[in-house]
Amino acid sequence: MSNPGRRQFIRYTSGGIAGAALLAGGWWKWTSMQQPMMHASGLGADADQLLAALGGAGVLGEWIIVEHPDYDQPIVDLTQQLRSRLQLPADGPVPAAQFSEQLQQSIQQDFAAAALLAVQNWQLTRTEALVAVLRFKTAGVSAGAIAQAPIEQQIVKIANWGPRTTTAGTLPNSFGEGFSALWFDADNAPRWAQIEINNRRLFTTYRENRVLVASFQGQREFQQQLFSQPGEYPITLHDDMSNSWQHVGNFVVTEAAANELETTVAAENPAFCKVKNWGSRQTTAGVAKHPQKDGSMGVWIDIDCAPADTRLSVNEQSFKTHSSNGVITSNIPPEMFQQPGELSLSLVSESAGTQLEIGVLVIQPN
Amino acid sequence: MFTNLADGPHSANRQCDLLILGAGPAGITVALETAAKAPDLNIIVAEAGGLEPSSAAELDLYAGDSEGSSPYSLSTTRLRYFGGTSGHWGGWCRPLDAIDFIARQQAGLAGWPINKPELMSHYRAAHQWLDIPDDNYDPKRLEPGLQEKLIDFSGNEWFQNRLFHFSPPTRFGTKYRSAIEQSDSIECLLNAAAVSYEHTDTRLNKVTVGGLHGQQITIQANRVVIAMGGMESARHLLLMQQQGWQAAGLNSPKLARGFADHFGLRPGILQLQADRIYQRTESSTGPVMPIITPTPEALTSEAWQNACMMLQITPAANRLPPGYTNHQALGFLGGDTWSYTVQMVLQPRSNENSRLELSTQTDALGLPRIKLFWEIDPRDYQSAQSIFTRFTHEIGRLGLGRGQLKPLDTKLRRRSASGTAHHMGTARMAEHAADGVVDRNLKVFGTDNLYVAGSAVFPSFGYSNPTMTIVALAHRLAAHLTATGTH
Ligand SMILES: Cc1cc2nc3c(=O)[nH]c(=O)nc-3n(C[C@H](O)[C@H](O)[C@H](O)COP(=O)(O)OP(=O)(O)OC[C@H]3O[C@@H](n4cnc5c(N)ncnc54)[C@H](O)[C@@H]3O)c2cc1C
Repeated sequence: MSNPGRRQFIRYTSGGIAGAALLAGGWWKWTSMQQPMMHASGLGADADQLLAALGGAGVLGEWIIVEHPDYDQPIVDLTQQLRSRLQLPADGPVPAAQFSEQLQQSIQQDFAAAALLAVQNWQLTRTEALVAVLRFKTAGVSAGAIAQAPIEQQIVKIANWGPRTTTAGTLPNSFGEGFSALWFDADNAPRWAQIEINNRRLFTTYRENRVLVASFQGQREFQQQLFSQPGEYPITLHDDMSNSWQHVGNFVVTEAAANELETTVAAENPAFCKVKNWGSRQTTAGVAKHPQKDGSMGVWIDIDCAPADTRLSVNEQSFKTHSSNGVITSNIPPEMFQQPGELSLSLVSESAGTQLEIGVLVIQPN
Repeated sequence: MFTNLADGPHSANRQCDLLILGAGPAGITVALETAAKAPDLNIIVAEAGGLEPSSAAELDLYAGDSEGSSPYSLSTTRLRYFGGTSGHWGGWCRPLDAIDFIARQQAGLAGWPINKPELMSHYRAAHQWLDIPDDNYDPKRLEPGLQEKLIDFSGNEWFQNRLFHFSPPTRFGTKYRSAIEQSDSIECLLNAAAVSYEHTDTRLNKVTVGGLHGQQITIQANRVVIAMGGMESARHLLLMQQQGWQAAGLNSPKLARGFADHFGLRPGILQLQADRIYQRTESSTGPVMPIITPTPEALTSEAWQNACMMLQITPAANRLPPGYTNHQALGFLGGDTWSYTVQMVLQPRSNENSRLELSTQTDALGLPRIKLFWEIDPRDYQSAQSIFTRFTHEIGRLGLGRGQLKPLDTKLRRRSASGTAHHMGTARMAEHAADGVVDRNLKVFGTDNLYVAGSAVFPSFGYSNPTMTIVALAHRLAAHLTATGTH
C-alpha cells in the first residue's frame, strides 16, 4: 500500500484523458519491465509472476477497495477466496497455465451467472475483482515505473513545428482520411525519433532528413478524444535507443464557442440580420463544392449584419468565418462530408450568446 | 394531373371512386399502386400543401400544444406539401421483425392482427418504392472486410447482428411527381386540405377541401383513405368523432391513445475491441448500418421490448486502466480496445396516457388544434437497462471488453427525451374495435368506406424506422382496394 506513485496515478485517471494517457505511457513502460514482487500471494511463484504481469489490474484493485471496502482484506483471505472460486486446491503452488485457464473459465461463468460487481459503473466479475485486489495488495500499481523512466535531455534542435493549436472539435491539419498530422523542422534528428503527444506515440516518419511528420493515423479514437477536449497537451520527442526524451512544446486545444453556449434560437434574432441566401445547399459525398486548398468545402451566407465573433456551427462543431461585403464565408473540413447525410448549419456568436439557424446541407450519396 | 385549388375558382363538386387525403409516402403509394392495378378507377388525391415547402402561415396549421412529460415539436416533425415528410426524411429503412407482429403480453406488446409473412411481398415492393436494391438484412451477406468488423455472435443465445439499409432517401414529391402528373386516372388537388366531412351511419360521403386561399370544393367519394401522417390522421378521426359519428372505430377507447415515437437512449459505454463498425457504412451493395439486437428467443424469455444498438466511437474520459483489457489470463481476446457510446433504439410500449386530444383553440381554417401528451412508459427504461446490462455481460463473457452502465431513468433524461418524428399508434390496427380503430384491412371499424394509411395504424412498433412498413402497408391497401371493387 506504500507506493509513492500510486496516489498520483489515481488522481490522473479521474482527471480524464490527460490522466489516462499519462497512465498509459507510464504503465506500458512498467509492465514491460517485469518488476520484482512486493509480497507473495500464497499461490506460488508461477501464479505470482502471472499476477504481477497483469498490468492495469493493480489500479483496478485500488478502485475496488475505494468503492467496496469489504474487499480490503488480508492477502491470505483474498487468496483463499480466489482458490475456492477457481476450484483450486486449498494450498500448494498453482502452475501458471492452470491458474490462467481457471481464471478465464471462472470469469466467463461469472458473466453468465451475473456474479458481478459494479466499479465506477463498470460491470466486472467477482473473480476479476478478487484478482485485481490481490494484484494490488501483492504488487501495488506502478512500482519501478519512475526509476526506469527515460532521461530528459536535448536530443535535437527543433527550429519550428506546427500546427500548435485548434478549437475543440476541429481536427488540425487533417488529410484525406481524416487524420491530423503535426510537422517538426528538426535537422539531423535520429531516424528512429518518435513524437508523443500527451504521452501517446504518433506514427512518426522522417522526410528528407529534415522534417519529422507525426500522424494520428490508426489512432482515430485518441485523435477524437484529444481534439475534442480543451487543454494543453505536451509534445515530446523520444529516442528509445538512448532511452531519452525531450520536451518540444504544448499543443493547445481551445474551447469551442458553440458547444459551450447557452444558445437562444429565435426567428427574430437580435444579434443577426436575416439570412438572405446561402449555399451550397447540396453536395455529393466526398465532393467539396467550392473546394479549398486543404480539401475543405467553402460555404457562403448572404447576411447584412452579424457580430464580429460569428462562427459557423456545423452539426455542433464550430468553425472560423470571414466576412466581407455582407457575405460570410467559412470552410467545412472534408471528413464532415464523406458520408451521405445532412449537416445542419447555423451561425453562432459567443459574445451575443445566440445562434441563428441557416438550414440543412444535404450530402447525397455518390 | 395536378389541379391547384389556390389558382382560382374550380367546379364546386367532384366525384370519384377513391379519395386519398394526403400525398406523403403513404398517400402517393396508395394512389399510384391502385391506379396501376385498376386503371379504370377515378382517383383524387387531396393534398393540403402545394408543390413547394409550405409558408410559415401554412405550417402554423400544424401547430398545437405539447403537454407531455418531455417537449415535442408538432410542426418541425412533419412537412405539409406534396411528398409529405419524405421531403426531409433520413432514409433509414428496415422492415419490422417477425416478432414485432406477435402479441407478447408480458412485455406489454399488443401485436398485429396480421403476421410478417402476410406483409412480405409488400415489403419487397416497398424496397422498390424506396429505391433500395437489396432486401437482405442478414449481415452474413456482407463482404468479408466488413464482416470482420462485426462482433462474432454465432451461436449466441442473447444477441445477433442485423442490418439497416438506406433509401437515397427517396423524396416522394420529386420522384413520383411526373407519374402523378401523367396519370390519366389520378387528379391531385394541391392546396386542398380536408376541412369537413359528411357521413351517414357507415359511410363517409363527402369531404370538403380548402385552404388559406379561401377556395373550397366538395368531393363525393365511394371510398376514402386518410393518409395525413400519424398525428394529423388521428386529429381528423377525432374531428369525425366530435361531429357525432357513431362508427365503432371512431368511438374505440384506443382512438388517438397510445401515441408513440422511437426515442434515443444512451444506456452506457463499452470498452471493446478496436474498429468495430455499428454505424452507417458503405458496403458492396450500397450503404448499410450493422446493428446489434437481442435474439427473438431472448426477447421472449426475458420479456424484453425489441431494441437495436449502434456503437459510436467516443472520447471517454473514464476508461479501465491501460493494459487491463489485453490480458488473456483474464479471458480477453487481446488487441486494442476503443470506447464506444451505445445508442439504443427501443420498441416503445403503447402507453395509453400518451395521447392526442382536440384543443379548444382553432387554426386559421377553423379546425380545432391538437394537444399532444407524449409520455414514455417507465418500463421502457427498465427494458433498455436490462438489455444493455445483459449485453455488457455477453461482451465480457466473450472476452471482447467491458461495459459501463449509465443511469437511464432519471428526471433529467425523462424531461429531455426526444423523439425521432415517428408518429405511431393513434389509430391502431386490431381484430376488434375494443382494441383498435382499424381492422386488418385498414378500414375504420363500423364504416364501409373509410380507411387509414400510415404509421397511425401500427399496433406495436419494433425499433425499425416506420416508413418502410408504411409503404408496405400502403401497397397492401392498394391491393385490397382493387380486389374489393369500387364500392
Ligand atoms: C427529420 C425527419 C427524419 C426522418 N427520418 C426517417 C428515416 O430515416 N426513416 C424513416 O423510416 N422515417 C423517417 N422519418 C419519418 C418519415 O418522414 C415518415 O414516417 C413518413 O414521411 C410518413 O409518411 P406519411 O405519408 O404517412 O405521412 P407524411 O409524410 O407526413 O405525409 C402526410 C401528407 O398529408 C398532408 N396533409 C396533412 N393534413 C392534411 C389534410 N387535412 N388534408 C390533406 N392533406 C393533408 C401533408 O401535407 C403531407 O403531404 C423522418 C421524419 C423526419 C421529420
